[in-house]
Amino acid sequence: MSVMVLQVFVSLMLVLGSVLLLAISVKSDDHEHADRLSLLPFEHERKSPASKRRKP
Amino acid sequence: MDAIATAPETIPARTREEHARCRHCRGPIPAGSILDGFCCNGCSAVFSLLHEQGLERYYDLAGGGTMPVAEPRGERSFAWLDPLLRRSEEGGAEICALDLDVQGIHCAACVWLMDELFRRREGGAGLLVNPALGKVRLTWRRGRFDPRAFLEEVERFGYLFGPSRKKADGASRSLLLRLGVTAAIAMNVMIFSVAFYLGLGAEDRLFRLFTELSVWLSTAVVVVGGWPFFKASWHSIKRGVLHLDLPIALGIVLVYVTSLIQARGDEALFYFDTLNVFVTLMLVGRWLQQRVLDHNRRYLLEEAGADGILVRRREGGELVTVAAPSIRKGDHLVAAPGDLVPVDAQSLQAGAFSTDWITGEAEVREVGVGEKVPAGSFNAGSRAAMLLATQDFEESPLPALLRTTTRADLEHRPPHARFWDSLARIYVVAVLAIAALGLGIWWPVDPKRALEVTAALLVVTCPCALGIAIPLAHELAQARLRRAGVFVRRQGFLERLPRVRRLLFDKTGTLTLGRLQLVDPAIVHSLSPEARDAAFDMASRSNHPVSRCIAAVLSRAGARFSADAVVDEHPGLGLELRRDGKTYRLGKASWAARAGGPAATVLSIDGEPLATFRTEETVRADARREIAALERNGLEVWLLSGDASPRVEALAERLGIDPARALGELTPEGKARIVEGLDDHDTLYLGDGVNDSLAFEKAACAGTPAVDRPVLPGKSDFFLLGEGIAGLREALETSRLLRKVVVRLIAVAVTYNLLAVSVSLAGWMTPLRAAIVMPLSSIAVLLFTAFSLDAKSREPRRRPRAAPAPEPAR
Repeated sequence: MSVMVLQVFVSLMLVLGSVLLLAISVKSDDHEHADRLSLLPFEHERKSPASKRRKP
Repeated sequence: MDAIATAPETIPARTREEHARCRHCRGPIPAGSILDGFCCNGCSAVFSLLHEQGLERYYDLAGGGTMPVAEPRGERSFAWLDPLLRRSEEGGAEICALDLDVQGIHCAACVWLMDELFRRREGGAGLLVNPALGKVRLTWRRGRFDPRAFLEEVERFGYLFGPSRKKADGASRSLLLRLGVTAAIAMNVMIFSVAFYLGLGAEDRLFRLFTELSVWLSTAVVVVGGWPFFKASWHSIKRGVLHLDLPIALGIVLVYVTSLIQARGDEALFYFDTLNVFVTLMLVGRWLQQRVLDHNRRYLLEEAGADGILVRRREGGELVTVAAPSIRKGDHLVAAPGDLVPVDAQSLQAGAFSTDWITGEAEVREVGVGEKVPAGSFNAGSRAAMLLATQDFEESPLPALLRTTTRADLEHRPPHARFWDSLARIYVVAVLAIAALGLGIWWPVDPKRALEVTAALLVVTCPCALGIAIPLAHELAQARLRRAGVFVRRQGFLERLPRVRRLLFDKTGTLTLGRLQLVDPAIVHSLSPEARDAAFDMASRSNHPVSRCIAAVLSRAGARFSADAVVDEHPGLGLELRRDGKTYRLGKASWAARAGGPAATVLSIDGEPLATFRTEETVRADARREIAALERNGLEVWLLSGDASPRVEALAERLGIDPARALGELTPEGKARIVEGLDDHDTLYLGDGVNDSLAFEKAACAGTPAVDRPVLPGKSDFFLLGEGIAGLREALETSRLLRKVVVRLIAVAVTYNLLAVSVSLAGWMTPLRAAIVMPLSSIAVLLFTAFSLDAKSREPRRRPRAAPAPEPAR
């Protein structure tokens, strides 16, 4: 019995946590592009511009 | 043997596919386009630039999600940037910061591109790009970085910057938060419900706990998730109309109340799980609808009307940037190349002005000292122009044309809404009547059972198809239109579109591209290589539209550029180059050639004419085909322009438009009067100039291809990207398909409800059966919608069906 109540309590806390995280993400306006930013390469493009490459 | 036999079949097919798609944006190439492998000049220029600068990785990151690029119209005004830069650099801080809005950003590749261009410059401290909102924050070390040069460089890739005005839409954010709360709670309530379905009874000690939790959590869902529907319903009732949200709100309240009553008993005969899922699905539908429109709106810069137009004014010895409404008669103005002149002014020096935005004239006007420059002109020259304002801004025609919100916007009730109003009314009356019928039939038999039947009836009649499937249908239709280059900005546009029977086009910049082309491009091949090089040296050093057109043709013909050539520009006359003791001139016939000549641009050597370049407006590649196809589909096509009537008639003839429907020399008010006279909630106006602004307000639907000019994008129901107008026909067809799908969805919903109501009236519906049947019916309508509007199986047209032969090249 007490285990069930504890489980319900924990699950509701998890729900509350997830909702809070969503609220923070929405407030900081990164909820829509966080996934996109995470796809960006870590390293910068190593190629130099063509104009530089053409130099002898 | 087989391989040899199949090779000719497969390779050409793949080659055709390669050629049918733009190499930059992968969008459809307009039929008849002269560009090899590109849908428009903008895409072609950006493709070259990316390769030239070693930025090909952009395409890997974009993953095929690139969008067409608006072609830059020469110089663009940066008058808005001066005060922002001054403010950023005020104070003595080492690091300066600037927040800006950006137009055209759509994916991670755009972020990478900007970041890469920023990284290549010295002195930059940081660049933070928010592609969701279309904003950037630029920081740099004072005196070691040129923000203007950086912004100009990025704009060459098709983006546009503007002052920071975009804000996250509060309604959209609140909807997302409500959806998050509702979805999280719904999942928990469903878990509790499983216990009830598996036999948790009143004798179990957990029964009360789970029932209480279901009640309280469902109350939270009704309050948080139901609020947008309650609010919209209440507003609609106050206005005396029935909104589509009313049946949804009614469904939520009735199911909640009946479940609450049932929860007081000793049996788990309540529908809290179904209620939670229903509210969540309704919110998903609403959020989907809002999200697409927000996304399309944020793609563009935010409009600020007249206050957003900034002008440089001389105040004593200083040049001050001020908002257009503060301009008074007698002010001395300085218009840099690309700047807008907001009032009628007198030119204090010779210059060139483009008036297509205000008058629809395609040609650039040469203005001499003391001559009038009309309000709404853009400086099309290569130098700043000194002007004297001859009227206050309030007296100028621009304030009326720049108005962004009209009374009509607020009061006009589009006819498509009537359909939803009557549907909502029928729905509300039917639901209440059926619930009363159930109660009436079962009450004499067993009052407790009567309550159960009524609860079941209210649950099964929840308008799931309306709340989730129809928004999904809109989302899919809009996704399809985005692939065709049509971006919907306003709610209700796709519902109004199937009624359209009359299409009204502006001329310059809409059916034409606002740039010139040579009537006979082969004439450059008759020139000697020396004359070609001399002409190219002159034409490529001028910003004049005729020069740009001649330079482009000469460049394709292989003319060579000499960096050390000294070219004199004679304003209003032409260009002059001295080389090897000879004088080359490119300009007006009366000036370039001793004997004069026709009204065309002449290339001469020592006064002897070598070639005469006649120009004409460049018509959009697929305009003739599309207009013919639209007319064959029963639509009336009109051409309304402020340009001279003979030019309008000539273009109408070229495009196959009935001359009786081609009207020229129209003022903005004249255009609006014609649209008002023709409109029976069935007109669509496509224009690009501020002179189309009043006509926009009178037409049932309005759109623009000019996303790089102020005002009109903010007033449009939709905007077009790319160089063709095929997207318009795609939009008309998609809107009709969408209407069909919506009607079928309603038919499916009615059939399902009839069956479910019969089962409920017979007393066979239980919470468990409802929990199975309702999600199943929702999934069925969603699959039906997805199948009907599947973007992959119904690709936007690449070539129009049964289109006539292209116009022969001249």
